[in-house]
Amino acid sequence: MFKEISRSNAVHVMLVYTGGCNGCDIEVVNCVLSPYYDIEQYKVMLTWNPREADLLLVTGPVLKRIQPALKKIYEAIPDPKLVAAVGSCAINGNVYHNLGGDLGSSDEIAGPLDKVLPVAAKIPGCPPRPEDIISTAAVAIPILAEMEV
Amino acid sequence: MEKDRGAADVEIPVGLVHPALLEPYRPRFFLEDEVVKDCEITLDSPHRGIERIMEGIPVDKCNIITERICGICSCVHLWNSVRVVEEGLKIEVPERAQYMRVIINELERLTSHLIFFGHALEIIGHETLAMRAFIAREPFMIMLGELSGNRVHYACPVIGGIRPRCNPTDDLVQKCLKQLAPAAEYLKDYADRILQDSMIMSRVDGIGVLTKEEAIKYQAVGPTARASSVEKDYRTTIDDFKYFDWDVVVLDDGDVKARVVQRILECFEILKIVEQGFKNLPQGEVRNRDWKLGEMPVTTCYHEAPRGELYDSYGLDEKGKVRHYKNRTPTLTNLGAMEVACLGEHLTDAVLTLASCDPCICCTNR
Amino acid sequence: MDWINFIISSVVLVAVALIFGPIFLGLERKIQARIQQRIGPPILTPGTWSILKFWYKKPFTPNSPMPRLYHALPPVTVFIIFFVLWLTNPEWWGILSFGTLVAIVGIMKFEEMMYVLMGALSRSILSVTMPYDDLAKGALIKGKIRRFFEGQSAVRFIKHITIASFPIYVGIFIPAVMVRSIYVEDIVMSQGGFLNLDPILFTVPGIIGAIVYFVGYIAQLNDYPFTIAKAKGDVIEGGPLEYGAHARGNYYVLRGVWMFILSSLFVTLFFGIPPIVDFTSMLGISQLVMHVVLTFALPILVSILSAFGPILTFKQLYPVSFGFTAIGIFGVILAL
Repeated sequence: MFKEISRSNAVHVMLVYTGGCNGCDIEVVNCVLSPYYDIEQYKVMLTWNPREADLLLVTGPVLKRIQPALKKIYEAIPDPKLVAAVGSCAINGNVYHNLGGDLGSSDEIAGPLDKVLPVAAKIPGCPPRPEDIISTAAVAIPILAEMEV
Repeated sequence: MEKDRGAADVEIPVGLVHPALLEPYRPRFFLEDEVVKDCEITLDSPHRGIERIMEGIPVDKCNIITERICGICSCVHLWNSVRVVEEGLKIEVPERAQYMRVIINELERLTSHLIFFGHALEIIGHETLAMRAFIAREPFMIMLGELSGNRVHYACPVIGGIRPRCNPTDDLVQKCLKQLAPAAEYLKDYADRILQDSMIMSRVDGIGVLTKEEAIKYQAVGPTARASSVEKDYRTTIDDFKYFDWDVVVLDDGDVKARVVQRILECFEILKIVEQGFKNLPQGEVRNRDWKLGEMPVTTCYHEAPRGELYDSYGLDEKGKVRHYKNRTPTLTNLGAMEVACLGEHLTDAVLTLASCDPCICCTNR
Repeated sequence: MDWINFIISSVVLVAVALIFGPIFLGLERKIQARIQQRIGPPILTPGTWSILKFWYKKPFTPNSPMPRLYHALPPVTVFIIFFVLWLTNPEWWGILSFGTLVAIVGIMKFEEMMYVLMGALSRSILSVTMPYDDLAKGALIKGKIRRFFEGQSAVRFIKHITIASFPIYVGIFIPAVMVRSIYVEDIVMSQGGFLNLDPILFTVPGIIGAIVYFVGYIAQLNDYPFTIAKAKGDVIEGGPLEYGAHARGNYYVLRGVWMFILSSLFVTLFFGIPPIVDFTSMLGISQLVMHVVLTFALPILVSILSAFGPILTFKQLYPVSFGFTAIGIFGVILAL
């Protein structure tokens, strides 16, 4: 009983940027540091330490140079954990993966996020609005509360 | 005078993911008893290979990708890319479109400076004033959202004018003018609050000094150079800005405080331009459609991004596809200048110095 | 000696500290949020529910040369600092004359050293071992030791201990100088019984002592502006970076309990109301309730001040700390 109550009343979120244009990162920072949106009132707190996190927000198309760092950070998070893909870059690679001229599209990309990590929630938009990011974090909380570990 | 890169005992690398770095890059600080003796920055993480994607792409698709090189300075990238074709093929832009381009660009510059204040104050540790920066920023984001349809990535300039979606009705212009005055008032109170706080000023005063000779030698650009007495602003060379009456802000000290104050003063110049733009907005069409794409030799354009000098050049072949695209952004040389400016400082102050040139690594790595 | 009362009062004091400590953590965050003009988390979220949530996570081995010692540090430290709370309880004053201020100061020193040990033993992936090939051949300086953030934090903690602990020691000794004794019993008795209280706080050296104690309190808790050793701006969190799952819950307990215990010490020394556990009479119960209510004062003041303070680096910390120590010594002279 205390497990479900405590997991749904305190969630820690970590943000990892994997090389996109940084627009989604600014909107996530808007959720946390802007009193207009203020995700802390929904019991979600920001941390920069993977050992303290439950939910990992990933922005950007996963570039091959940052992929080992992303995997290491994901493995450092203790169970139970969830991953959310923020923005079109993380969901399907956006313009870098799907547009191209004579030389084809970019080959620096290790693919959309679900080729690299198991994704539980996807937030579309370029960039998504802060209201969308907050509502996804709120949706992820009951999933975390029920996870078996 | 060349700064002394002496001997060091210890190296501390600051990782790819860190609260002081909003984007992934890797500075390595070489310390002797917490004083930085040398600094090396490795900058290749967000490289998406944009110039290679552009080779052979139709020019309209090129503009979609150019906008997404960076999220904070997206409007100026797109505008400069569109200007290359307009200068190369001699396409006229109507006057109302010129006014709207300037207004949206300057509003974006204002939001970029406000993020810088929020970020720098967060690194200094003053969370309260960092949040007030975001309160000050929000009315401008809402205004941009109503003018163009999106909070970031406005897609306003197109070849020959602006998109018809960004053409405001007279009601919208009046509404925006009414919203400008209280937002400007809040910004003025906020700037006074920062400048009068003695604890914050003692953290930034005299830190990370970049002299005028060093700024010229290491090719610093933008607000970083203007805070070290180098008077250079590309907006004075651009045709569309000739309708507006504004000043270039130049300061002398060259330390972190001068860079912060320079941007604060620049915010008020921006508000002047935006207000003049809304008041004097001429009537007329917004898009010039009578031109044809054809072969164009490689044309070069310079512009003033929020962080400094922006360079774009490409050519078109006979089918209208982009050839030899090249894009260079200001943070490359600004960070190099900061590598020199942070020598001799304590580690915490050195991290603050690197952040004070407002680096945008995703632009630099394209 | 009455063993039953002794055991009951010790257990009740531990329970009070464990309940109210995490509440102070949440209260601090809520007050800072209201000053920042936003709603902020519910009071129980940053403290109580976070600790329970961390205890239900799956344990793992941290990156550390001695993982079991690293995980043992927070519970051991919590046990040791409980002695500060117990030594202010009248049941403990008779034991081998431990109820002295010197013992309390010694325990505080022990708590400070624990952070140095934490910094030495932690090796998180966020600095040196981030998987990125950056040993480029362009650097002028080659082949030096690569230090982790936690190691740098441990070095800073040693400097912090030597400089920033003076205010709280001077603040603790002002009541001793006024009463001419280092025994907690004498300091409490000299301020009168509960019903006719004459607190040290309301005298001139008492006020100076309280101000100096307050500044020292912020320094002990490593809260803004004295947070250079654990600054989010460059070392992220310092020594506790590798704590996760149940160990992080224990670390939060350590932070919360330390906040409560130092505030309780302030109430005992400056108000003259020790935490007496006596459920037989209304007087006893009301004394414990009054003590707990008064412990809320210092954390609320700390939250308000820390919302307005940036991280001060060492070159600003030295004058601030020496300034308040000088004020404290002036208070000592006044008390003589």
